[in-house]
Amino acid sequence: MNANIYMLEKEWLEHKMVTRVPLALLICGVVFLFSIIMNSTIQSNVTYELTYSDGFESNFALGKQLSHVVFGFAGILSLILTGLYFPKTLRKERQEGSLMFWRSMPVSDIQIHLVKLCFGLLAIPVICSILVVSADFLMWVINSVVGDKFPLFATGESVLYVFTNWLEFIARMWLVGLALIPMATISLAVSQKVNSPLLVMLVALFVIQLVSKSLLGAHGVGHFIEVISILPFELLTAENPLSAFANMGMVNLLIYVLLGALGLVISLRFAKYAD
Amino acid sequence: MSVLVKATQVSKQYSGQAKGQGEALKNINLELKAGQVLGLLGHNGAGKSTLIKSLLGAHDYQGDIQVLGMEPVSERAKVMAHLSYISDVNVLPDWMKVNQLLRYTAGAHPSFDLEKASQVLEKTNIKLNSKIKSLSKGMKVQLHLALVISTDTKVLILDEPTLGLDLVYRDTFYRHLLEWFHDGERALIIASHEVSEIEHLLTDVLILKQGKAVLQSAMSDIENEFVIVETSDSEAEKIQHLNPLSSEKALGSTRWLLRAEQAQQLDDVERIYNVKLADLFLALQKGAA
Repeated sequence: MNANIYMLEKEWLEHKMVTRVPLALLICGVVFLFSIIMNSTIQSNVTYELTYSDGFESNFALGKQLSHVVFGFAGILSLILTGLYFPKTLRKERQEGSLMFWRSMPVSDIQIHLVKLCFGLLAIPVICSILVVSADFLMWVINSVVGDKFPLFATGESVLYVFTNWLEFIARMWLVGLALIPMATISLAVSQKVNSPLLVMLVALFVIQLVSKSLLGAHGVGHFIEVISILPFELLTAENPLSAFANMGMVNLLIYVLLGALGLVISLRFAKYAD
Repeated sequence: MSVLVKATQVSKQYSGQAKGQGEALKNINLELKAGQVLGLLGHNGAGKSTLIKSLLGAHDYQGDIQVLGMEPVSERAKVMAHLSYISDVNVLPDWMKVNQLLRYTAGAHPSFDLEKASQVLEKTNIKLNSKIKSLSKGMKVQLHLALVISTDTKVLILDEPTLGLDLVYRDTFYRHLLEWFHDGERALIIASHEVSEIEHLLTDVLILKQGKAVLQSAMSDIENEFVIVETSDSEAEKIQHLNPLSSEKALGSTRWLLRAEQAQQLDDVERIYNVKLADLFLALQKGAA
């Protein structure tokens, strides 16, 4: 098998938080769902209120809303896990003293970086997508099996929706991943030189914004930071996710890409030596 | 025999230090062919680890290093297919299980023989589902050696590998090491303070002091080049003029460590002893280079 697969597996094993947090939330969600189903009084109360106020369509609305909430929540969770993974991954190897072992493998620095980028930007969203597909699938099962008695989570959707919504989540999150590449490479670079990369980057962003605004009177930097901050959320929620890139503006997009490339070059430079 | 490692005029100046000051390594030259075992000796801070890090491409250096014809920094990935390193501190990832480490190495290292590694580990107390964190220091060294000897390593660098190990582990370690070494066209570099422990393994020795090579020789030449002579105290003044490498007072006599050609100038020698590497190492470290 390809060495990259084993390297991805190593990331999977090393960063347990990436799997444990979604798994824990999945278990909590399932338990919560079943506790609602098992509660004989809540169903009749809630269904009655909804039917009374909004008619039958409200049942679909609640089911769909719940599906959208899980979609958004899983997306934000994926963003958080990705945001925590990149500042940690290269730093951890240096801190725990295993760097010389990983360097003793016949694997180039660029390959290591690409595997880490793939794991953080592509694999983590797929792991989090389990929440989306599980929620939709469970609601579909409940509707199919006890839908007549239990219309609270009715979505009115088929099993095909479960599948397409899952794929849509992955596709959107991979676009988010594409948009996060510059952030990821900068995180990888910073994390090799400072002990608290996340804190340093947040403080640096704040200081750059403050200095450019108050001393230089330039609002461009602040605007740029704002634009790149909302980009992942726009990609996650916009009707046409690709429009989020267009909304950034060509100059901002170009600067962002250049920063990402610079981050990768610097990170590779830092990774060249073990010191 | 092909040259596996060649270092030419290798120096290392750590950043933040003025040129000429704090030079960790100064103009080191070495050539290592298959079948050679080089002992890298020196006091703490002599530059052993700096030289090893340079050979591993772990830091920048001045001069030229070729490992199997490749530069270790720019071609690290290719070099590491044939170069391995075991250090005095554990570098294996503590969070991994032994079988996970074997699986990773089998996937990432093209010449790794998983079956061979499993067979080697079967002869030890290391369980495949044990976490590396739970292994003793000796077991971790055994595990690391099992990984190394299961790859097509041509050059192995050992940096104080048996530090902190008991005699049983040391014995097992060197036994496995020698079996592996004689199994192919390989070269070995061993850095150690335990001179007497590794002396019998070495074919060559490089003694460093403050970053400089103070002795670089084949072990077979050391016996011919150096000698310990015991003379009466009355000869002391005469021998002092020969600048002996070291001296040791005994009852009514003194033992002098001299270059062989110097010893030939002496008439009144009571006894002549062969030089042990430890004697030479101590003498050179104490200042008489």
